[in-house]
Amino acid sequence: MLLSLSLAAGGHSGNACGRIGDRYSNARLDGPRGYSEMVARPSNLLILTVVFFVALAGTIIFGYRAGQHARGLRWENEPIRAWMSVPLIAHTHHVPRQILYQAIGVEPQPRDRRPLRMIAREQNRPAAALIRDLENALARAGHTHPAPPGGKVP
Amino acid sequence: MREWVLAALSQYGSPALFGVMTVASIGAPLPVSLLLIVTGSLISLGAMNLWWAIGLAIAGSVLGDQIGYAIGRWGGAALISRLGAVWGGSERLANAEAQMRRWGGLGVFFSRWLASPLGPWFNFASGIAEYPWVRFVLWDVLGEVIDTAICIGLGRVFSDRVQELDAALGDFTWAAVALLAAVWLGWKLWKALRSP
Repeated sequence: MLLSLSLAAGGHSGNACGRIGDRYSNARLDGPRGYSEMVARPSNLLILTVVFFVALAGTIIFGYRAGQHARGLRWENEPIRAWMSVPLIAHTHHVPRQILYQAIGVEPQPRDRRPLRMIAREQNRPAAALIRDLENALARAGHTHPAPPGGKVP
Repeated sequence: MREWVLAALSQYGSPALFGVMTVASIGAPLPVSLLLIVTGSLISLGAMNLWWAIGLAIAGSVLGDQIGYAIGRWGGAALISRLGAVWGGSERLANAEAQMRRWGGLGVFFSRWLASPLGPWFNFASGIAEYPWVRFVLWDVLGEVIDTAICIGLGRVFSDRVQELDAALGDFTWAAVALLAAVWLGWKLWKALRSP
């Protein structure tokens, strides 16, 4: 990426490249060009300006989104996914495992690492049905997600 | 793919972590940060061993990085010839290579953890530029240790908020990449505007 970025923006003209320049003997030779001559072309300058502002906008947008997500860490809004194991779901929702095992009709196991999708396959059911049963069990157990102000409610 | 990778981690633990980290470091678009965060959560649950997980995550990442470097070093000759034709001349390619040699260490280091989406590109570019292998390994291992420690550590602390944490870290990473690009482009722009 650094290599390609350097290429895109021109890079410095320097004399440190004589030896390694030989590696590119098959490449098209444009002749020597100075850095300022290359970048100062109106078209190149315009591209550089546009890309600069795109990068600046990206910084602001992603920075804002990161802040939003960081604020979301205070709220319990961890959705259940098919890759999760029952112990992990119990941990993220602070409920005993037995409640969840009971809800999906599985005998509790001490070191159960099976993801929900595997349990669903064993039961010949879609993983979505299993997730629905678990969400109902969480609701029955009195585990409700407090809604963040203006945030998402799972 | 994301679901499959996380299900494999949940089911197989450290060996799956090693395999996924290796493949991701070569350049496959896999959810590495979420994988490490979930690893931290599984460690806090007692489902994985802390030191095995950290060791195998670092080993997998470094192995993948070495493969990327090797591809660039021994398989990049044809590509750089094509790049020369596309990007406009051998001198610019040679300049870019000289910059890689000059700044490559810091680039490798920061692309391990702060700007991790750029990691595979830096591996490949380091190989093409024939950046000294010993220095590459040193920066690589240092960066991967920091990345693994941050993600697994945060995963342990926020073990019940793994998905929200991943979203926050993902956006923070892209913000960091965009900021680095903005600083670099701003510097180029400033130089261009100042030159007569």
